[in-house]
Amino acid sequence: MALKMQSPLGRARGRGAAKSGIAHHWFMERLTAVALVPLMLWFVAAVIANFGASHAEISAFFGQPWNAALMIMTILFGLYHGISGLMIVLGDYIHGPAKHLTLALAVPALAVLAGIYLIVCVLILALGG
Amino acid sequence: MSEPRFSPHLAPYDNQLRRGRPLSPHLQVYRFALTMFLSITHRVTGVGVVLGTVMVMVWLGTAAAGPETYAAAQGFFGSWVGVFLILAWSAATLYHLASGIRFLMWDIGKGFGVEGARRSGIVLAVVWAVLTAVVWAIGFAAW
Ligand code: HEM
Repeated sequence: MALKMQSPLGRARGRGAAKSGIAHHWFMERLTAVALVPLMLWFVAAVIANFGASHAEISAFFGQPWNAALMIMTILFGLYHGISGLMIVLGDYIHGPAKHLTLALAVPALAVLAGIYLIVCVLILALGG
Repeated sequence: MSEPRFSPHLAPYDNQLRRGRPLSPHLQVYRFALTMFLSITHRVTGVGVVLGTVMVMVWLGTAAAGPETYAAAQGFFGSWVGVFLILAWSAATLYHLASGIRFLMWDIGKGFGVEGARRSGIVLAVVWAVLTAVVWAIGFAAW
């Protein structure tokens, strides 16, 4: 009998129905969550600080490179984390063919659209729109 | 494993309990617990913050569009509906943030068990209330 040099876990990995992926999603959800702790504290503070700000003030705010950079980071991490979390929630409550259409197509497409739109807005403000 | 107490409500599941098997929540023997409320609230606030993205899109989108469009949106955000939405959004975000840290603690193996979950749940409720109160106070002071 050949000596098995692989651990039982190593042999089992990737053999499930999904083949691969779920551990990656699990890890990315946590990684983005850790990044979002400082980012969302900054963002909540930014929203409160700019409540009622004039157009000149809001343009000046995002004209600061660090504010624009942090906003884009928040958009990227927040949407990635929020959308993959939303897909888990939707997956729990939607069944049948609609499930695949929603999770594989509609939600990711909307997320990419929203993300690019938001980043373009930040760049317009940052570059003096 | 302590012997489960006998309850007439749980009689149909006696065998399951005796073998120390878990029991699903059951409508007739439901009892409110802080931990389960905090748990579902993490999910509800998570989805709420995703929906809040629409507000962020209106905010940044109108700002990028120019002063007139931005002023119209500011009129909405300054209305009672707008203020209510911003208060709800900030409260939900701060809850999800604090609760998320609790989840991350579990992920690294800290605070398991009924007692640990109950204690961190109380910490979470207090931290959320203080964070929200501070942010709202600063917001209203600047208003
Ligand atoms: C502020 C920092 C944040 C932290 C620390 C955090 C943490 C977490 C963690 C640890 C989970 C997994 C919970 C579990 O194991 O069931 C999670 C789920 C989720 N998060 Fe966040 N999150 C943050 C921000 C956000 C933001 C900005 C959004 C929305 C854009 C969001 C939306 C969600 C959603 C929809 C879920 C799925 C909820 C579920 O499966 O019940 N989170 N979050």
